[in-house]
Amino acid sequence: MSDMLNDPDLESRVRRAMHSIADAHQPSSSGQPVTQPTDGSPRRTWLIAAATLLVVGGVVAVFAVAGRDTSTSPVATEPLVTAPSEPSDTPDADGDVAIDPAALRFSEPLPDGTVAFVNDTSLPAPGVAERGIVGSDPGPSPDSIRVVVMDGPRLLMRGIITDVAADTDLDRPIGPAVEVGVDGATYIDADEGAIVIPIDGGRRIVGPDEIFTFGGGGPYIEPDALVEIATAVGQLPIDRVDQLPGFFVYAGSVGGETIDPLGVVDATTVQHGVVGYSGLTLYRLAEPPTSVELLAIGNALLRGELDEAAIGDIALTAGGQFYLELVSPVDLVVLNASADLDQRIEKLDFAAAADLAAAFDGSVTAPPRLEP
Amino acid sequence: MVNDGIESTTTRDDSFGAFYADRFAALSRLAFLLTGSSEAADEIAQEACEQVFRRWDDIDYPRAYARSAVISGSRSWGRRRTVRESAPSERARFAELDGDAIAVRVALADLPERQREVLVLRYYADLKVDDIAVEVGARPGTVKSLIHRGLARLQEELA
Repeated sequence: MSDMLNDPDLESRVRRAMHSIADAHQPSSSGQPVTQPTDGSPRRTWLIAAATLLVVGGVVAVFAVAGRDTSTSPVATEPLVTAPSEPSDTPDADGDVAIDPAALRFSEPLPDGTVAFVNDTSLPAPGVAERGIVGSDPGPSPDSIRVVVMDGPRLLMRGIITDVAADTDLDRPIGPAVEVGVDGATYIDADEGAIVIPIDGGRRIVGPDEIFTFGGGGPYIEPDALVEIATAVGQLPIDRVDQLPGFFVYAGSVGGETIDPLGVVDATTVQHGVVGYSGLTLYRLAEPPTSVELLAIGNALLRGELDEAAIGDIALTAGGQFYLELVSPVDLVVLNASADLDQRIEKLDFAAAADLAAAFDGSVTAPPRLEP
Repeated sequence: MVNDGIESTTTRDDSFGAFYADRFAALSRLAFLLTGSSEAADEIAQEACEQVFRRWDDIDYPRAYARSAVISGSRSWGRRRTVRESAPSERARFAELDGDAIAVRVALADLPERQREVLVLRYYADLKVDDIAVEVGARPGTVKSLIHRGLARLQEELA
């Protein structure tokens, strides 16, 4: 490495310097579980307590690692970045929190076959409409994913990452070079609305939805955010992008196979009359989302147009027309109202699909709404 | 070669408690090199250990997993931070560093994230280029390029 540089001792000097710097840093705990956390955070307290329990109590058997294969390099088999952690009662590094089921309308999942409707007889009678699953629009190429990128509660980008062959129409980078950690990366054009990264056999385009909708222009997101996102993605295999912190893949195709990463296992839409009055879709998720995941899902379903939202919100709005609420740990309703959104929300109700007509005319009482 | 110990594997009978006691300091120092912040380093190392703890039964190589978590955590911290400069008390703590170390510390803080990562993984964690490529999600050729460019930047500071 150093043969290309002037100082033949450069690498050894850098190595020594780094170890000096590292040695000068004194970790607060020096590897020994302590009883007094340095920052008082619940997470630290929890972890230290767990470690102390293991070390002092000698209950190592609880966490003994059975059946591990240590014969190969760890690097080759470990994930690039950490997988999403389990829901926790304490904030993680991004301030994410688990959602308390007690704060939802229903603390348990709704019975199968439940639909959402607006219990307002001034509206046309509701009827079960088409099945609506997100993820049906994979993107512009066989290897293409739609992503929401979050920085805590803040949406950085709702966009597309697509890998295209070198001879496609999209392979026309003409913009200036950009530093994203990959040689040859450029903006897609002089407007700097998307970034093109060389990959094996082609190019990767990283950009917001608008670039693919309008065919150019921009920038449609903060330029620094676009560079950060492209830097994080780099040449990472496209099916591993969802492992990056803050990246939520909500639709796409990899190798030509459509994927549905949001984990929506079912979705039923109810329409009041013709399109234009009120439509509601009740989504069943595979797993309870965390607060940040809920915001990401909201941005995915509501086209990145969420009104101001904060970590911990279970009800989100967008543009005065859309309302999204997590009504049970795994049930999510999206209400689309062309008018009178607040009134529709007030009369949001739930019933078995088979009982929908009776519930709407008042002969069957739907489950009561819990007060927030 | 000075090995920080992060690279070696863990035996089947190791407990998480032993892992924590053995690895926390090394993970914190790795995070410190990546962030330049002592406070952030401890928090990132703690978070990495927490993630290992939660997945202790599912992961085969907790040390490598923890290292990846530290890299990921350092990136997240870098996105959130608003102040790059260290606090005065931190600068004082490192006053005893020699000229090369001070120059490298300053240069690391100004390097692009990926260049900093590959340099730290190469010259502190002593990873091979192929392993760094896996760790940062880049091709080996890209890693070599990043190392070369990063070294060129460091050389300017060390001159």
